[in-house]
Amino acid sequence: MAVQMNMPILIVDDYRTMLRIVRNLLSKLGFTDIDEAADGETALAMLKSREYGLVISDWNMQPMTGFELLKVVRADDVLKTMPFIMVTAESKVENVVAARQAGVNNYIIKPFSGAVLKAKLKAVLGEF
Amino acid sequence: MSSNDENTARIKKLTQECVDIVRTILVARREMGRLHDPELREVHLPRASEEIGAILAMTEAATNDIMLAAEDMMALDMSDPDYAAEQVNGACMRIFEACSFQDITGQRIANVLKTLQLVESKIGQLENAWAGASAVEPEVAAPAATDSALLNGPALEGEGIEQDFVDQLFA
Repeated sequence: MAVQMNMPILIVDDYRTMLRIVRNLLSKLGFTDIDEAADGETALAMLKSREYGLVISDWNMQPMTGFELLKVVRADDVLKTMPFIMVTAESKVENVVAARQAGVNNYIIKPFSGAVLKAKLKAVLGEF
Repeated sequence: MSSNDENTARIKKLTQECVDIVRTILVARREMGRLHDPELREVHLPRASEEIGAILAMTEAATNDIMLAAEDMMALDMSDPDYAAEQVNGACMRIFEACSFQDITGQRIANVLKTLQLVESKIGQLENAWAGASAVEPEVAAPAATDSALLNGPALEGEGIEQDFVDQLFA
């Protein structure tokens, strides 16, 4: 099935600069409906109030980290199949393995390029 | 009071003061011994120094990337508007990508701040020890979150894994 370019995407990061970067890269790729959250807790509330097609989240945030958000999403009956990409500077093997075990769909290490983001989106969502 | 009695009283007072000074020094030495923290000197301070080095390198690289993108735009031949627009678009994306340094350097600075707070805490404990305080301030508490061991921030060169390795795990 073709990727709906107008599907809502939620990006979660506590750095506004990074939110702007990801938003601009997504816009450049053709996605038109992008929401932002500055931490896991806010993101979770947004995920429960709107049907998103994808979450792109940072790991290192307070009070709820992206990893905790991922685990809550996977434990939620309604949200558990939500495509979830982690975009983080945490680049230790144990982080990637923990995220994989928790059910993340893909993992991008910061800093990253638009080409890497596009490749991971294709891997998770399919061709667009 | 006779002159002899006055001298004896002075000597007793001086002797007591000397004993008090020696006691204070001994207490301070004992407390400072407890504050000896090899991890601060051998792990945290060198790490903070490396983090600052990485911040300098990353801001320099990002500045260079942004300036290169701007120079490429300035040098564009505008006689082919479609080609020029495509090039400007590409240069803008390179600028966006380069700006991610702000996030990563921010995380590195947060790590350096943690070390500075540790040093501040040690200095406070030293002041207490010299003041003869019996109670030593508690250490800076580590984050209580259960997954805190996974929160390390950006890796230094040679520490972390590359995106290619991650891709293999998700292939």
